[in-house]
Amino acid sequence: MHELALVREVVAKTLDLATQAHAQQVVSVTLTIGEGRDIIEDYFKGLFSYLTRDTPAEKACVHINRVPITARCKTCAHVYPYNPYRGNPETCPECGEANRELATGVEFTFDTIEVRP
Amino acid sequence: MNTTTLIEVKQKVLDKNDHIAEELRRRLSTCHCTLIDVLGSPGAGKTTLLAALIGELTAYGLRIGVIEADLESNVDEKTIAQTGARACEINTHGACHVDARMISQAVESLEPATLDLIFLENIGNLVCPADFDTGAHARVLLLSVPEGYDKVYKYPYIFAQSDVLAITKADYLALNPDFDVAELKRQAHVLQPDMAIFETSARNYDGIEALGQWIRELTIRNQLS
Repeated sequence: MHELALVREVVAKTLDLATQAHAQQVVSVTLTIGEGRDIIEDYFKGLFSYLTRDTPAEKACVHINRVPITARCKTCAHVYPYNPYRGNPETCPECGEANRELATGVEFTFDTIEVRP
Repeated sequence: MNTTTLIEVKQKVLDKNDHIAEELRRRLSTCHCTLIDVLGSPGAGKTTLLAALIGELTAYGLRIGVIEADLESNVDEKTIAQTGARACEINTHGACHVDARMISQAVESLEPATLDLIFLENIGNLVCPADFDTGAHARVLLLSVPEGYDKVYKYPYIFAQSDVLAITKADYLALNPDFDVAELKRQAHVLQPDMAIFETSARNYDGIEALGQWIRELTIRNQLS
């Protein structure tokens, strides 16, 4: 049920934005969700339709852009693909140092909303 | 009417929570009170570790409060109240995480200006709590020896979000030779290079002084800043 808490926030934001835009209907919303966020897209979208029933966002299309997980080397600043579920690569492919931080992959942003007045 | 309007939003989905968490962190820093979020699966030993830490830290004169977050019940609140720490319980009635607004209210009820340290015992869960900033100054993640050492790559986000790893129930290491402490530490440092790692046993009081010292240093840094 991990998605439920997150989808509730998305729905609240969708309805706020629809009200601000004086929209009769929300046609679509676009989100960016890093692959480091554990979500199942189908489940996420299903919960969105369930939670928006009887609202202007009912039947809105949810587009999700996933961003791959990358690490930034703290030694040489090289950014490289990184798999935290396998823990590899263990060191920077450029300089061999292990000191790094996550560069991308945990995004969770509301990008656009498409509305009909 | 088939015309639609596309509106650029570009907001963090959890920005409201992040904002409340940031406010809380700043408010607590102003009154020199440190908030530590304690995370771990059900049965990792969060309440037991806290009871031991409260004993250790109270001996140094720290005034401690505890927020117990559970789906239901006040079992943990009662356990903590026996230590003499000020305790309050939040029940989420089924929700798998606590958010900054809930913690903000609970913190106020503990009168943070009269405390040096507040522990938040988060919901027992390795997934959902990681997404919600609670306004804590540090996150302590527990992994108990009976759970197994191979949890880092299964729950990377919560490891990447934590400042301290407490390996709890270390007295079971003798019974569980498969628990590879060195490999666990190596994997944890891959995700979080700065992670401080302690092997603890509340039963034998192993590692409690060392973890207590890490916490005291954090509260002192917070009081000086």
